[in-house]
Amino acid sequence: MNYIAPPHKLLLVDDNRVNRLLIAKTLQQLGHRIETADNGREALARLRREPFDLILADVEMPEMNGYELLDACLRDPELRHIPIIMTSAVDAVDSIIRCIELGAEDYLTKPVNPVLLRARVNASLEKKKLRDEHRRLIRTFADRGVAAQLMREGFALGGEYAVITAMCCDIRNFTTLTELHGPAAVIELVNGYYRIVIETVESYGGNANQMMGDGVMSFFGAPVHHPDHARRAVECAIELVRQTEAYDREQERKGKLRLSIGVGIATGQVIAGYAGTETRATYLCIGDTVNLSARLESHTKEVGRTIVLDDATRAMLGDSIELEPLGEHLFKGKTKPVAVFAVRRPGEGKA
Amino acid sequence: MSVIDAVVLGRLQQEHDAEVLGAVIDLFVEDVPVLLTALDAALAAGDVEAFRRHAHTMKSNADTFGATTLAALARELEEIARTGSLRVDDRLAPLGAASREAVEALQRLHP
Repeated sequence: MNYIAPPHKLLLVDDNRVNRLLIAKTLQQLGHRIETADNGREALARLRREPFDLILADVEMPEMNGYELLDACLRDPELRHIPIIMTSAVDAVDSIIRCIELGAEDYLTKPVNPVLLRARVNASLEKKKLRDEHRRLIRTFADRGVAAQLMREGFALGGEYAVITAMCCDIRNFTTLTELHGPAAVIELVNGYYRIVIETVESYGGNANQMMGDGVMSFFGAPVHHPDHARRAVECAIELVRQTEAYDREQERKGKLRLSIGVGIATGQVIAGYAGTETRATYLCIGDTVNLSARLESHTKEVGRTIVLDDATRAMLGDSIELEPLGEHLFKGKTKPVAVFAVRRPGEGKA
Repeated sequence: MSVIDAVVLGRLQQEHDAEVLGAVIDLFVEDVPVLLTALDAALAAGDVEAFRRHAHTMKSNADTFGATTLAALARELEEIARTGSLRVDDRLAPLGAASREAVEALQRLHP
């Protein structure tokens, strides 16, 4: 068995104080920190207040019994990763079966055998460690909204129609930058840029979905639904530009590589979901809207504007964001021209 | 059946130092009259669920210390109440006697 470095914080839930004291003392010998609760309701209140690594709960309790506690924890996305070991009387085999069917990590019969107790607690903590590592990996390599959906609902290939706003942002003159400067300077710049984009997109409820070199494609409205996805995307773009400009001034002050960006925004229906294979899949939004946002991003250079958007996005905005109409443009791959607008910024365009 | 199963108590003594074991026995001793009173009250009130739960706790505690006779009597009461009945006839008196014997034996074995 792997050695689990103590201390871990365990919640012991039992209405019987004789059992509580005995089990607590047995686990303290392992160096763990033991907190106790009298019944399921009290336990649930504590679990929602502070983090625990493991729950040991008795089946038989007043107010909220062990089954109800188990069920409540497994339904709660914030608690379902905590392993639960159930304890019950040795003559209640049916209760053991029910606990395991409900999703308990393990069970122990009472009176609790201290050797078994320690072994099962260690095994469950080891599983928790792996699960935590797994959650951490999902959070690192998937966007926050996607990670939350994965942890909540599990993973299934498949898609659905959704109306979203796609935002494509790109570093201006990136190819020239990479040719003129060394790898360390370029990676440092790209990391600073990615950090700004990901944090800003997430803070506006968007999904920073794909990073391709210097381009980042983000979606607003999927997988997390927001009725005001267009406004979120445009406000996010404005904030993104503000932050990259601040970053650029800092780079200039330090005599380092400069950064300027362009942002294209388009709204429309896409197919959203997981595509790939069972072993290698990714969350995607597929559709013309996504391509159009990339075309609009490239269009920023031609029109000399920083943030450019399509008519469908404009239609969802209202009046609070000042826009400059740039006329219609026929984008590559489109059959009809698209009315293009720029977010009005000081020093850009006609007053 | 013996009052206290020496093997069960021996394991407890092996696992825990005298101080911890003393504290656990103290809790058991304190809880015995509380549980007996609660069982009487539940019976008088016709509260099957409370009666079953208190019998369950008594059984569980008795099992912990190897108080075999007490555990068997408490288990019987729990089973009756589990069927939704409170027809325990005159079983509470022997339960009281067995619990007092268990308390005395534990205090003797672990002064």
